[in-house]
Amino acid sequence: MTVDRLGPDERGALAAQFALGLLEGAELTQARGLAASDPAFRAEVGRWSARFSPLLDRVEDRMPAPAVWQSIMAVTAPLRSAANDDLPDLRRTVARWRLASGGLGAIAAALALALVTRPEPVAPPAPQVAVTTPMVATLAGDDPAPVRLVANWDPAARQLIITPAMTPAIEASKAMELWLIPADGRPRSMGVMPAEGPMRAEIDPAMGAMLDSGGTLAISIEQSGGSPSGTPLGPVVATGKLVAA
Amino acid sequence: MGIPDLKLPAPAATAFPLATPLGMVLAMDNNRPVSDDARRELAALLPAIASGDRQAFARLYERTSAKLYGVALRILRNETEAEEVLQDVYVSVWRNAGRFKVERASPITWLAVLARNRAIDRIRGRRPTTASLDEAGDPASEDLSALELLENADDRKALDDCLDQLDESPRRAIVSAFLDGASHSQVAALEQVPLGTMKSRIRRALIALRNCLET
Repeated sequence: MTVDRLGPDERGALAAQFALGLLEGAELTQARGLAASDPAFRAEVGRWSARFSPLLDRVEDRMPAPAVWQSIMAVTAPLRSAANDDLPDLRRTVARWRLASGGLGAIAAALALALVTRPEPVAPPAPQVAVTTPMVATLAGDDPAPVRLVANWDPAARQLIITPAMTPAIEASKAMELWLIPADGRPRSMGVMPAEGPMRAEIDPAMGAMLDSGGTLAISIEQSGGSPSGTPLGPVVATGKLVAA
Repeated sequence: MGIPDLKLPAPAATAFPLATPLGMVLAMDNNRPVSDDARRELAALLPAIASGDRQAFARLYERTSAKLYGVALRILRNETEAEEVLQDVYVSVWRNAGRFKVERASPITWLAVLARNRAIDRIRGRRPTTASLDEAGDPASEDLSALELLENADDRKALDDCLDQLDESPRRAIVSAFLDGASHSQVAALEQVPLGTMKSRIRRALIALRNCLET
């Protein structure tokens, strides 16, 4: 079928079939191409979609599991939008991974509950002063396999949340330990990641002040329970700089 | 529903008692379009969401998610996939709420169409990689401003009346495509006719439908 040769009726019918989702194979590819390149066709698809939308009233409501909302909260909070472009995608990946893993409940619930129950400002937040700026970091490493974690520091709640997206395979006797390396270059332990899921840590004011001023977060592989020496002994598998959210 | 410890203020004006189970508040029965008050209240949430109001976001979710989940689940028939669609739509709303035209469009329709289109994309083998509202080229990218036109009970009645004028077979096919995600070959199988026959029936019916709706 050559679209150029379609009369207005046929063209409208193609837009309608596309809006209905009937098209398959070559016709679907063609319609997608047309929708991408031709605003008039795209608008026609939109009109058809609007015409059919009252049909959706016939669909029975179904209650989604509470975990879905918790996951949405985890993905969208606490950042409205991130300065770092890959961050939203990564956080989305994290949430999707949690959904897909099926073990969403406990993990996301803990994370999201913390986010949900935190008092929210009623008015849109005023421009924030430096001391209360939430910080984020994407901790990344690729040796020998990709490792990705997302860190969120909420100074108001003094809460640091580390959400794993891709974690290294480690022995049962080992654990991932989180370190803050502030301006003085001396690593401070921020705690040991649980075997699964995010780490949520209450941070004392002194350490919180260090997080507020930025620095680098790093993950090293230590014996379970963390490095006894108080400094990282094992290999560092991921690092990332804290930036204002 | 399970949004623990999040105290929501009572809506200023609503046709529905608060004791109604959340999510069922805006359940739309056949031929019972959402009330103007309820629609306005929903529409008012979107600018608040655009400015980062998470309570407004929670309320929008409470009032619309059961509809959206029903729509996605009916098409995908898989809870995990329907949950992912739901998440995609609301994350997208959180990021793009400012683009919604408050004055005219119906939020629940807008959201339900978004969920429906994303579900269709999935079963047609296209998984959107970002939560953008305007991915070029897939049905979810359609010009959603067209939905602003769809606002009143007359439009609903007009669609019902015009669908009633179609032959039964293409009418069933059209409804099944929109609500169940059936493709041409699937409706042909359901109607037990050759694919070419089904496609020409549907094309003719769609042209008739448009003529009916535009007069």
